[in-house]
Amino acid sequence: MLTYLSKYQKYLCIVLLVYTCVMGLLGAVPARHILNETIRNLYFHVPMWFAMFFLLIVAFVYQVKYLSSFDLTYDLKATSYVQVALVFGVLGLLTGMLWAKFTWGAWWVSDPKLNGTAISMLMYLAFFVLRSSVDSKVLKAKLSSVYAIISFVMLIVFLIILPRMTDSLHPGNGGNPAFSKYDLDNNMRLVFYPAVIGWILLSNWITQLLIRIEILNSDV
Amino acid sequence: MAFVSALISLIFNEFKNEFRSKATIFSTFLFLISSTYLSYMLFKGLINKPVWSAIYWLVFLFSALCCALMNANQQNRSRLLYVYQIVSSESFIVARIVFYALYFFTLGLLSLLLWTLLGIELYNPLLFIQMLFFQSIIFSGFLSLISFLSTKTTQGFALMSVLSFPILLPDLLIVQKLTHLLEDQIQWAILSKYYLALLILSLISVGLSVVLFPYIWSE
Repeated sequence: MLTYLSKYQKYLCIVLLVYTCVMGLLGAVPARHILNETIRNLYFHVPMWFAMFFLLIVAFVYQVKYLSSFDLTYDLKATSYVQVALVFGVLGLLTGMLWAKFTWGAWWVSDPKLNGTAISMLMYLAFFVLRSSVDSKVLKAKLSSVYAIISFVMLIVFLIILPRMTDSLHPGNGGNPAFSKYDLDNNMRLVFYPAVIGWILLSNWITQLLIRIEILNSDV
Repeated sequence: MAFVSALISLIFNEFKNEFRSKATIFSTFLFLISSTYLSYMLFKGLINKPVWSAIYWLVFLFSALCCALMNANQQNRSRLLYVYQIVSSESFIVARIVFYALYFFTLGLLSLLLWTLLGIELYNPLLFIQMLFFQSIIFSGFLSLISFLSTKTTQGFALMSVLSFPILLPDLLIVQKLTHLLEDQIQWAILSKYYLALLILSLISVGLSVVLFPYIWSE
């Protein structure tokens, strides 16, 4: 799946991200109360989560493939995908925190969406702790794939359940102006969708490089 | 039919094993009782219903972890090898889940009894016990898999809590919220959604461990 990223995809990724950065910072945005110019964070913060989810889904597919074939290459690929997904998760958290500081006035609040992210990061950090505490390669791959599959399913459950438990400050919940409903006019859409595709392509590209390095380093 | 009879004898065996090593069973119960009493002493005068429910579920979580880990450690290699040869992995894990669920349920009931003695009055004990029942199934589904998983590694309790906290958290949040709703005497129409969520979660937890267990069992 997407193992050999053709050069056209790389060119597309570069073009889309240059377009995102230029139009995202200079393009016209609707003037909203409180949000003001921070609305531009939409082009950077939200695609991070899309990219993270894309990588986690691919990792999940590889973990299932590993358990059905016991081929260690799948495990290597899955682990690389999770690693890059964590990086994108951290970037998403940082961009979100920056935005929160200017709109909510605090770096961190106890909010279902924020708690959900924190917990999902903990799950995938625990995944790496588990991997580092086993010596045998095969056992490591088996245990960590099993754990990763559980945590992915629970992550989905978490994302479905948690927002319904309480109101959220986050845009799109609890009557707060959502980006998509009121604020996302057609001008912004023209930047937002390319941004999502561009960041996902970039994340996949980084992972491909990581996988190639890991394969060179290992004796699989 | 063979599956069911194997299951019953396995569950019976689990209990026999547990009762044979008195240190394990007594230490689990003592852990529960002393941590309950400790929190009663520490939170004296501060305990209202929300605080109580947080304490109750935390103590329940830790005693379940403690119980699952001690039980898994106690299973020695030769016994597992013996069991591996005579039963299928499905019946082994299902027996394990049933055993843990009954065990956790007993622990929860004992803790509830203790709190009742210490002066906590529940508005609707029957509904609470029903919730405890689902909770025990959910915990046993995840913990039976994760405890087995963590015995295969070099670290014990620390790794197990690191692995299981994030996974158990959504379900702990649901029961915490549900406990509050029960005490606020909310009508059944709202409560039923939470019970449905618990039912779905318990199906997920049992299903996941039955499906995934054979992969780590064959080791």
